[in-house]
Amino acid sequence: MSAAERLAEARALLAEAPVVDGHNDLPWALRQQCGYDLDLLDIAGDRSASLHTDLARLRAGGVGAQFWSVYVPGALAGDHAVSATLEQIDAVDRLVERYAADLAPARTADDVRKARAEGRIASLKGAEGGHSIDNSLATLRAFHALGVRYMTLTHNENNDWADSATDEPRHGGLTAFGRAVVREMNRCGMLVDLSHVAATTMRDALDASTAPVVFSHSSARAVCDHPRNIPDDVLERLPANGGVAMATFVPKFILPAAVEWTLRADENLRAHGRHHLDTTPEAKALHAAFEARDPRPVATAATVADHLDHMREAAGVDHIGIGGDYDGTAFTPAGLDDVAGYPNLIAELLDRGWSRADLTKLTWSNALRVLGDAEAVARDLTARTPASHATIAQLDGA
Amino acid sequence: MADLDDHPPFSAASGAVGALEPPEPPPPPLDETARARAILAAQPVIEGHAELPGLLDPEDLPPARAEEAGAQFWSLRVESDDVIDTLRRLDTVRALVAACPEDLRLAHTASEMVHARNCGRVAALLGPVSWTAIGGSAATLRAYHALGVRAVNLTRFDRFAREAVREMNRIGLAVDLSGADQDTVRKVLAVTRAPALLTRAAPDALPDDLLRLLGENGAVCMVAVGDDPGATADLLDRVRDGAGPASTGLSHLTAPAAGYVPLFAELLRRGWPARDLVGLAHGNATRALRETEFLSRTNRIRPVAA
Repeated sequence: MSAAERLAEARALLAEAPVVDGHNDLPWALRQQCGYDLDLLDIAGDRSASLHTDLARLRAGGVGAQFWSVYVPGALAGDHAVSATLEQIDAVDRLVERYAADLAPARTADDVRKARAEGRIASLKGAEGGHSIDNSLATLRAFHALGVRYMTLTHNENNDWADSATDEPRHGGLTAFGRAVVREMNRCGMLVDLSHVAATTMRDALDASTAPVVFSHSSARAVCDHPRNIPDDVLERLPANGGVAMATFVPKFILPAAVEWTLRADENLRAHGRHHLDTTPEAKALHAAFEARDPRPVATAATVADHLDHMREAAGVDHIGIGGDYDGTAFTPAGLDDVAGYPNLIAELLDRGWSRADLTKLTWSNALRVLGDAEAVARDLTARTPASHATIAQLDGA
Repeated sequence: MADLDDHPPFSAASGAVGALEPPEPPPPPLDETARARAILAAQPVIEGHAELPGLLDPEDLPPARAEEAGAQFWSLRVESDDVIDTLRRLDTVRALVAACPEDLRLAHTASEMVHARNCGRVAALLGPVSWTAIGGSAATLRAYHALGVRAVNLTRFDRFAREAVREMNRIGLAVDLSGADQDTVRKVLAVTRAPALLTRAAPDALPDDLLRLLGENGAVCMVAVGDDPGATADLLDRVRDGAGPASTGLSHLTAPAAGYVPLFAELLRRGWPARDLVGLAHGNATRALRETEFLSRTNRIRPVAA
């Protein structure tokens, strides 16, 4: 098969088994770039100048369902985090309402199938960081009632009940309240997302969860040793749990050379007295000068495929998926530059001998199975157990 | 039509043939208490204000209420300005309703409210939430609506409030003006196109011209019923005279054991026609909810507020 034939084959495959992508940060990008005013940044038009995502490119990419991230920064605490999350949820609902011909609201696996049958892109919501609920299970349930279908237990920082992968260990995984959060998520039917969390938190959550978990945007630590990726012992537990690990495209997590380069770039900013996440014009100028001296290594579709090959070995073909993190990352792999890129990844995997059946699982059916299974667990638990009113003070004495 | 044809046989003929049995003596005229009881048996009361006990004990469920109550607005007002405390309270009311499926049923629309009543349940409507718990965000307003809240207690009027009232009209959230100062009431009435609610009205504090404005708006002033039916009837007379019979409503009983019968008997003695008592019990509040819903349906084509 020639490259062109493989790409045509990939597109044909995606027409039947479109991508269920685990994580896209368009809502936060809309807040940053236009204050949610979609008249200023209409995604029905070509937005490639400032966004990875618009409707035409989602269509070109063969996306059939998208978990839109209702992320708020970990720096927001308490009621501000709750309000800002409500605002992000509202932004997704308004987006779906405005582009109703292309986007369909979805809360269940069946909603996603219905959207595919209607030729629309199912739009689900995922919260990124347990700080969004401000230690309140009532708020967790309110988010569920508003359609949030996964919550990442932490973002880049620890919270009061879970350790993050990118912070100093504080709890050694989940606290007792953290386990109560996981159980309540199982009960109401919100997927437990283990991207961003420390490996200790991953293991504790797998112990506590009776429903399948997801990694909405994480790849394999054995391929690229970065804390945002999943260790093999955790991947190996997914068949028993039933969950799915959705490989992400973020170069600084998946390409070893990019990990090292990012360390050097961060060090450069720190040497100039700047925080490594500083995005002021001065910091950007310092960074540009660094990049001129030390060119940025470029990941490709093959880099992502390397991870998927390994994740398939470790977790099994029934437990892998895709979570690009578009509009949540500054850089993207060559060939996977924006949401139109998924066919290139599928073509790469076809070239590596992946069967149609396996690719269908990767793009579509694994994620649908996890959604449906979590719904079944929730139906069972809601019938048997009352809502938890546990507080962090009761369980953790904090 | 079948049920209309379902006359007992010979009923039409018996009059023509003549009285075969001596006619029954006319019933003695009912006293006001009996008439009030009869009216309330058929006309459930919509209560503007029900509140959670401070600490909810599942052993105490369901909470005590007047047997005449057919629907209740469950207040979600909180002392703090926090969204999260409102969400907690909302969660508790939902849990309470879920724990009493034989007694309570959540209602989001006037139709669901009527349906709950037809199923022998007391309809639970969510709201009002505190104005401060909106945090100046239309998104939070819409989130509350999506979570089933149907009234917001607007107590301060500023530029955001003007936009918020329009947005509430658009999505179908009632504006509750209980406790708002006169200036705020006037400004809101100038903006809103839906009937306002006063779930805890204090009509003695409202000047005549404001009552007239409330009447023109179709607002419902829901009055708390105290121990003394005469004093409550004075308040309701003031609303009926100032705003019109379509603006009367009931908030709650300060002493639940007495029920609504003494008040309705007193109003009958004062010459209130049965039609006005039906409006007071539930007709006016139901109309206000339906108008709010209808306005929202016709308004949905307007763009979303920022």
